[in-house]
Amino acid sequence: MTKSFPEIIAYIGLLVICLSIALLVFVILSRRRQNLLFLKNKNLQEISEKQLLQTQLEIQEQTFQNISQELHDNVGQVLSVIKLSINTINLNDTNTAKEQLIESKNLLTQVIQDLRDLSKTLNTDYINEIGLANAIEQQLLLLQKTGLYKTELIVNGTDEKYQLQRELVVFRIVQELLNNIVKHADANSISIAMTYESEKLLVTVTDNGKGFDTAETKTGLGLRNMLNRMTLINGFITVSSQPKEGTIATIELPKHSNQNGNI
Amino acid sequence: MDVINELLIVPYISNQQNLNQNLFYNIFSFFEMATWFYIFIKFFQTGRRDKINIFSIFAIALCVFFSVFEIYQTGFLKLHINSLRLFDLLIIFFSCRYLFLILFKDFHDLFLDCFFWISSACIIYHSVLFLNFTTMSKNLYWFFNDSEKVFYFLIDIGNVFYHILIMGAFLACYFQKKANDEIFP
Repeated sequence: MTKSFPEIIAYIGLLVICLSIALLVFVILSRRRQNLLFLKNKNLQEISEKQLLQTQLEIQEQTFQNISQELHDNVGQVLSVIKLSINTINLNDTNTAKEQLIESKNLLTQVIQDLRDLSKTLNTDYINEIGLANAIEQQLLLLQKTGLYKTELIVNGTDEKYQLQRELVVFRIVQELLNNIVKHADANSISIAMTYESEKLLVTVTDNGKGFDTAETKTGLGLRNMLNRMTLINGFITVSSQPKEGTIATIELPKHSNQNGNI
Repeated sequence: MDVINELLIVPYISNQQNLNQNLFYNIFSFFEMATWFYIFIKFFQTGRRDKINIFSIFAIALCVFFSVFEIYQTGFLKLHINSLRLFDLLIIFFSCRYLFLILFKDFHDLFLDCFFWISSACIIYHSVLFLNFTTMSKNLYWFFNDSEKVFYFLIDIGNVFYHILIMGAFLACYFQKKANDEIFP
C-alpha cells in the first residue's frame, strides 16, 4: 500500500526527532565517558602527587640523616680530636706544643675540606653547574680519597643535558647506591658507566663486594624508594647480584618524560 | 512570550477583532528571533570570545535582513516562512555548535548546565518547525487529506520535548544556583 505524502512527512518528522534525540544521547554518553576519564586521571594525578610528596619527604629525611651521620662520624670526631689535642698542649714544652698545633691545624683543614665537600654534594646548583657526569665523578673521587676504594667512571656517548630535576633524582640515587656499597658491600673497587644513547641514559654502578642473593633478599625500603623515585621521572632501576660476585645496579632514564611521569 | 502569543493574543485579540493571525505571528517572530539571538550571543560571550560572536552577529543581520526583505515582498499579512526557516537553521546550528564545544571541555556536568537543556530543546523543536515550515511553503501540500493532522502531530511532539527540556533547563539552573549558594552563601 502506498503511503500518502503527509504520512511520509510524518515519518520524516519522527525520523528527525529520533536523530535529534540520538545526537543528544551521543553527546551525553561522550561527555559522561570524558568526565569519568577526567576524574580517573585526576585521581591518578592526586595519588601520584601524594607519592611524590612522600618521596620528597623521605629524600629530605634521608638527607638530614646523612648530614647528621656525616657531622657525627666525621666532622664531630675530628673536632673532638682537635679539642683533645689543644687541651693537652703543654705550653712549657714548646716543641711538642708546636707539633700539636700543626697537627690540629691540619685536622682543621681536613674538616673544612670535608664540610666543603658535604656542602657541594648537597648543593643542587653545583650539580647543575658541573653536570651529572662530573658530579658523579666528584663522588667517586671522595671515595677514592679515603684510600679504601679504587674507583672508575666511564662515559660513553656524548654528554647530554637532561632536565635538571630528573638528573638530580638520578644523582641522588647514585649517591645512595654508593652509600650502600660503603655500608654493606665490603667492596674495594667501584665502577660507574654512563652511556648516553639517542633515547635514553644508562647508568651502571658496579662493585666487587660480597653481593647478595636477590631471590632471598626482600626489597628493602631504600630500594623501593629508589624505584618510586625512578618511576616518578619515568625511568627505572634494576639490581642484579650474586653472593661473592658483587652487585650491578642499572639506572635507565628515557630522554623524554611521558605524561605519566611527574617530573 | 510564546504562551502569551499563542494562547492570549492570537485566539482573543486576532479572532475577536477579526484580524489576520499572521500579522501577530510576524510581529511575534521578531521578538522571538531577538530573544533567542540575544540568549545565544550572551551565552557565547561568557565563554572564550571566539569567531562565533562575529559569525552570530553576521547571522543575525542576515536573518533580520531576510525577514524584512520577505515581508516587504509578500506583505505583513503573509507569514515570512523562508526567513523563519533560516532562523530555525541558525538556531539549530548554534545549538549544535554549543554541544560540539561541550565535547572538548575537560570536565563538564551536563545536568547542571541549563544551556545544554536549552540547546537540546532547540535542536528538537526547531528541526520539527523547519520541517513544518517547509511543508507550509508548498501550497499543494495542504490539499492532501491528513496534511493538517500531520502538521499538528509534529508540532505537538515537538512541543512535548521542547517543554520537558525547557523544564529541565529551569531545574538545572535551580540546582546550579543551589550548588553555588552552598559554596558561596
